[in-house]
Amino acid sequence: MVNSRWKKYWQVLTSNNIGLFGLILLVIFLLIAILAPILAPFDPTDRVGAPFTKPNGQFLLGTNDVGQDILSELLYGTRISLLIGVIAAFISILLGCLVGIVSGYYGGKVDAFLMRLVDLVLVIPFLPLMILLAAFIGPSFWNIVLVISLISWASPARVIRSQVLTLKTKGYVEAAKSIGTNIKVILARHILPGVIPIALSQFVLAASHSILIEASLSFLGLGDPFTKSWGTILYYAQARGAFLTDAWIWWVLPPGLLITTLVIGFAFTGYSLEEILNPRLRKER
Amino acid sequence: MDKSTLLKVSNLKKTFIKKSGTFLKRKKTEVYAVNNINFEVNKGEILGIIGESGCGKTSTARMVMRLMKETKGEITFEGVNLCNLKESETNKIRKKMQMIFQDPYDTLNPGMKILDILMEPINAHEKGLTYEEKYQKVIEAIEAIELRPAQDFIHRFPHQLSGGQRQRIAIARAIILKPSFIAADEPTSMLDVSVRAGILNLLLDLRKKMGLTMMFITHDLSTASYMCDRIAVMYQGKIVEIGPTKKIIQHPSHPYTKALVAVVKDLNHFIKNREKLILDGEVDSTKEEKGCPFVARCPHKEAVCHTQVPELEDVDRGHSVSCHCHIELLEKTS
Amino acid sequence: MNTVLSVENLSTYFKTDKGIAKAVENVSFSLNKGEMLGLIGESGCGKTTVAQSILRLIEYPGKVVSGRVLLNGKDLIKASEKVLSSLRWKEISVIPQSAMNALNPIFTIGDQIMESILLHENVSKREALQRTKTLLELVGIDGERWKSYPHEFSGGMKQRVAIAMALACNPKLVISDESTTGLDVLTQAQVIALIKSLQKKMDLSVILISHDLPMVTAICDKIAIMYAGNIVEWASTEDLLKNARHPYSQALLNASPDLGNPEKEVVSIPGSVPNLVNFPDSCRFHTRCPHAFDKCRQETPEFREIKNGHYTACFLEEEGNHG
Repeated sequence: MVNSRWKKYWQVLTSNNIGLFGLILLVIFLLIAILAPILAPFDPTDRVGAPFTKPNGQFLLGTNDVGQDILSELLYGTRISLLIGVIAAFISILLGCLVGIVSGYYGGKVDAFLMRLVDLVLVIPFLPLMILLAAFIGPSFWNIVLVISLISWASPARVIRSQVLTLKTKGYVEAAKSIGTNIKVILARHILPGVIPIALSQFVLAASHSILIEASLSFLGLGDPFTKSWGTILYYAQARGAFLTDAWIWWVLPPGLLITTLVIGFAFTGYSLEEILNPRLRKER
Repeated sequence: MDKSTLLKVSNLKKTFIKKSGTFLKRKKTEVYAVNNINFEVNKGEILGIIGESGCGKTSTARMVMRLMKETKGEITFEGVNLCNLKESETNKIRKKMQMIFQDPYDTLNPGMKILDILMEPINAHEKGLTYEEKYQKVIEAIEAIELRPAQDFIHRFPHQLSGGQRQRIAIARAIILKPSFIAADEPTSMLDVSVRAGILNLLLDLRKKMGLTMMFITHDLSTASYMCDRIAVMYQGKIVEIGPTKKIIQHPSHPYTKALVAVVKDLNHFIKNREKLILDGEVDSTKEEKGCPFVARCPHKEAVCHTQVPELEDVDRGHSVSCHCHIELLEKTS
Repeated sequence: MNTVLSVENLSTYFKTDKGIAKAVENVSFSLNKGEMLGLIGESGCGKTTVAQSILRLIEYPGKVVSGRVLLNGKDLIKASEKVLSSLRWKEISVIPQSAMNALNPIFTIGDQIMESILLHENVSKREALQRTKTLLELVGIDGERWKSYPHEFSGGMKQRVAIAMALACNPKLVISDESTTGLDVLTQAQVIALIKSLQKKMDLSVILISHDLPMVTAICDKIAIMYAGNIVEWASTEDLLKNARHPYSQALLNASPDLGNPEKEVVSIPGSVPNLVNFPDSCRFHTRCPHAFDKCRQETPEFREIKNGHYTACFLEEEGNHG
């Protein structure tokens, strides 16, 4: 059952150029993250050269203010950026699913309360709040994940709720009820299979969001100083005046481009996933 | 309560609240979907409920099946009042009463195989069985609905079946637990004429074999007359006439039933005598009518029809009508 | 003969991913002045496609591939867009399947009927309004209600408005495409009664497309039965009821219960409608026909006259061994 459905999704995903492109980008980044120790010429924490070395044969992207190899930093940074993005997105989707399903299936007062909560989270200006939160609870890997998840579960919750509402009115859900199937089984067998694909596309979009947020937080100096992500690299570049010298070409531009490319990879995959799940957007073929 | 009565519905009401007006002057009007209806279904019989769309026939079935909560009234099934049951108790009683829905394209989960669809009722009520026993039951159910060989069908998905075959699977799902009561909500209205007859005959056949009691909801009088022992005619949330099929068809007493029978029996006769049978009228169910719900379209209306709601009265053994004019009408027709 | 419409060997195909779907194949029938023809068939049998082909409303991926549609001697299939638009409404008009779609919710019904009159005829606004009111009265609606919007009418009344609109330019031929489906039984009967009385009053030719055999047999003069893109039988209502020749017609007559005859046992047709994509040369009913023999599986039976005005396409007739 599940097999044929996934097969169809896979076909639509790969028959779509944008989706395929996004997927390839993601795979490349995943490989970089996994193979960082092999790919990187140096240990990013070691002082391997003179500070502020310009790019040359040995240091392809030069060195930073303390003489660490920037290329190696970037390769290892992929791990942190990707990990934070994926974990934060996962937590926020989990929260969103829970809220969305409960709210959609039970309706009534529970629904009204949860949806007002969602509205509240959605209208809060998130950047100031995040800065405040991050500054308050201190910069660390898990704190950043927590902050990102706390503000990004609301919009998936809403999308999932509306999907549950449509599924709820399906004849087969009512039929299952009239058979006497209990609610847990109905949720697991009839509602969840319809929610998972939506949750998946929401997850991908949330991941691209999370990566951006992480980068901005780190750039502001609120990132974990011990695990250098792309944002943290940018922070140091800015702090050491790289923006004012020639160094921006090898110190600022590469992390910026990497962030953009990764976000594009997630976004493209997400959009084409959405197309799969919403057949009205699917091209006639 | 009579010994042979399986299901008894008394004073059943369902109202919806319609909100209108402005924020400060909120006006709430009650809209009756089902308005104070009473009927019984005896063991082994098929009771037809007919009426036009929006007359409350589906709401009645959904309340009986506990898919909708009633506003007021009692539903007694095998001596148990269903309205006071807890969720878990209701689920238990559902083993004995099952429903067949109108749209076979919507009631089978498109992502599940026929085998899994038919396993669902067994998993809900007979968890103790081994897989082999469950499988055997599924095969038996598919054979009972005349899809052969059964093994060919269990691994298919709903979209690989035709409309008629899907409705048969829906019927199999309803009978797999060997219930005593089935509510069928327009089971043939979405199907093509050529396969309809098959579904009707299958239901009649199953009733004979399994001793089923049925509530058969339809808008089509000729289908009802083919299937049912007794017919209840609903109009605007009320039962306007109820009685044995033969009497309803041969001696319809309520003006609404008369018009309905005239249309289905002989359309040309209806066309010629249209004015005498029914008036053109628009029905607004939100308006609180003081009198008879049919008064706007009734060709026989009297002064009393506008002011007083008629009660369901027995005119002949087991044949009841709710109309102020029925005695005079009977005289006119006989 | 007073033939208003004559359809000859009409075929309409649709292009699909999997091949050519022969939605309508070799359909022929004709319609006399003042006659009411019922075009009967199950969903997907091509009856609406026939109507659309007659009106030249078939759009890509569909195409009328052969045949002629003669309206008072003019071939509509070959006619230019200009000629067509002068014929639509004035000569031939449609009562659509759902009045909700035909009526624009933001204009009053009077505006909409007037617009169709003004567009096709050279009359003053006042005259058009006068005619609109008369038309509304004709279909049993108070003429003063021309100022109402569609949502102020019930379903049956909307259908009446749609009928008034179809009659706005005094057409000779009206095609009613399932125009009563979805209405309640009594409303449906009232609308049908209205169409019948208007047909008599205005001497209209009407094609009534429907899936409801009892209704059509009650009011139509002639009936054409369609199955899977073919007309399998075309005869006067009386002939068809007494002496249906095609196995599908016979099965259809036995498929629905009859209130007048409570003892009648209804019988369903086994199997289901074949897929029309790349359909091989054969009788299209052979997969479900109780009398099918080898020839039915290899050749397409010819649609021919077997008795005065009674046409059918079945090999049993040729062999002369009809049960």
